[in-house]
Amino acid sequence: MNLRDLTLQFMLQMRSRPGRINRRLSRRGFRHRVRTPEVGVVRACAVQMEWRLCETAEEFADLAYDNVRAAVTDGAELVAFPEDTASLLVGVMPGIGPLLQSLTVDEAIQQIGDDVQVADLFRLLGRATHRIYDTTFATLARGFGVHIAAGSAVLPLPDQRVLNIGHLFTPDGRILRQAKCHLMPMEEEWGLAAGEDLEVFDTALGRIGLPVCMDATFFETFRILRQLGAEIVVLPMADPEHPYNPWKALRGVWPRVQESQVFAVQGALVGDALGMRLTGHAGIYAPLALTEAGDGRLAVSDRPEGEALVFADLDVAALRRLREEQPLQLNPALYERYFPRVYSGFWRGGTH
Amino acid sequence: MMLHPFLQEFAEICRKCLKRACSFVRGGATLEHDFTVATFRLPPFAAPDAASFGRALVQAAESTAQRSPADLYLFPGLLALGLVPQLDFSDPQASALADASLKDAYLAAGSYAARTLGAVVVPGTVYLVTPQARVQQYAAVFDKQGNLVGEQLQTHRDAFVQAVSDEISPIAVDAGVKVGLLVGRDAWYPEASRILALQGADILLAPLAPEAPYSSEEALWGLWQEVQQNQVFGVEAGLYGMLGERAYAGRAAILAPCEMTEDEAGFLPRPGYFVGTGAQVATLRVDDLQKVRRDYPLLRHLNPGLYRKYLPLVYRRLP
Repeated sequence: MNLRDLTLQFMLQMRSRPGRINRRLSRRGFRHRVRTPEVGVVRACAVQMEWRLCETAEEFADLAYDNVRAAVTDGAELVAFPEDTASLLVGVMPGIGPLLQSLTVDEAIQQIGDDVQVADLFRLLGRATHRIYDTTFATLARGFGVHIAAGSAVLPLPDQRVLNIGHLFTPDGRILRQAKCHLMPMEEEWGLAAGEDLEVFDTALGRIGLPVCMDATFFETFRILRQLGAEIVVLPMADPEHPYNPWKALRGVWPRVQESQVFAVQGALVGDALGMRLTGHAGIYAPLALTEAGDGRLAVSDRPEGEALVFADLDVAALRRLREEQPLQLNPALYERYFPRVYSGFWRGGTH
Repeated sequence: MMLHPFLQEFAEICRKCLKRACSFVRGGATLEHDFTVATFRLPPFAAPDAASFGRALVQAAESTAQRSPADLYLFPGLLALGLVPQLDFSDPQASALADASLKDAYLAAGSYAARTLGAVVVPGTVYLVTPQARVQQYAAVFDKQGNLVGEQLQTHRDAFVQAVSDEISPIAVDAGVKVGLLVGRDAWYPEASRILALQGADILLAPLAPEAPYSSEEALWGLWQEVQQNQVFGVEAGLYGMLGERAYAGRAAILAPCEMTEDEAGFLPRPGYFVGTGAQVATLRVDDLQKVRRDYPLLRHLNPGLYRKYLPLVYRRLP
């Protein structure tokens, strides 16, 4: 590591000190209206948030605080942020702000060097952004006594792979993580790696799965989570689809919820971000039979742009009843006969 | 020059692999040419015998063919139950048993229709009964000469259909055209569509008879989204009206990946689900399908490493 890198790392360490965040958040306080939760019902909030660069840890902490406070004030026990929440923290890198105002992230990276990938930027920033991200959301979860699905953060692992990782912070201090298993083409170009495990986490609110965005394009994700026992799936999203198209949006979480009989809470990142225009609705979804209009939507933001918080009560007891009354009629013998062959055959250069 | 048989075999394997790899890279499809399909939304035919059922199929198809002839005609599910007007739906097993010749009549009518029309025909579906007196739902496909070229039993149970198959495969209906049949509730189990698509079916056919009420939401999370998540074509036929005591409310649609349709809604004949009486016709264009797959090779982003860990083992768990 040369002197320039050492200086940069030192600056990033200074900018990401937990003490700065803790001081900031404790000054703002954690008093909120306490709501007695109904047994078997989880009040959820999905956050629709506009992307912006945060140049300091305090700025990021304030932004997260404002959303969580608004959510718990309305009784939320589970707050779901969008995908790539931690990308706002790219701004803590000295000098990157002005660069990203005029260039896309790819162009900005090219300015640094020909053989540099976007993943390298995350490797460089990972330690600092992770520290800010974890400190902020862990402090808010403990302080407000709320479960926070903090969207996702692109982070380097010790083995040098860079993954997009969903996070859930619990009031008792646990941090639960789930890597994105299906990457967008853009993420592959950036040099990110896909996760190869799915997990369902036992929490005080129920059994929760944490896939990320594109994971919902593939039914396999939700089916595995359902079979592992998931009742609530939190799915952070950042969709570079502009202009917004409701039909294309319908190819994600909504059918997955219907197929697998789960609740889903989807935070959405919107606005101009790193040379892309992100659109999408924050929303909370349920099986058709558990929604008043029979449309599978418990709450959806009014517009696919701009900021919003949407709330809904997830009646986990009703979901369990539905599953008993209308059980999935899966056919394991069929899947055992074909799956090993079709998936591996396809990968070796099959039909499409 | 004569190659050693082993080398010949090796060369053949290499040639096949190369062909597959090229197809994969260019977003290829097993569909080799444009193919026109017609699908129907119809009430049950009051047909007393196989001959009149076959004539009714031909009549419905011909009224469509005069406007735009099709290579394939897909009829709604359970349409053939009009052959057994004594059917008592409060006891489907007994009613299906009451007419053991139902399958024969269904097959005879389908073959006749295909031969007469000179087109591929799926004459809907029919209930069968196993020796253990359990109900199955069955569909057959006839080529344009009237030959039976494929059969498919429902693979996922529902309230009526308790005997299911654990086999599902694409059916070659014409040179360069493979279809997959989704019988009954199979259209709502993405496993069935995935298996068919990954085995090379570029057209999924769903001859349905959904009971009323059948909302557009219910329809959308069936075949529509199977088409989207597999980048294939989909054709849905729907039975409507009364059969015995039961009311049906099927819809008809010819579906494609959103990117292939003008308003990006995924319906080839616009604006959406057809809920009148009659047919919809559309040509499935192979170049358009290949372009969609080339521009966004969705299935390349499947994660076989992940699936190997969990599938199919996870299905044996009780969630």
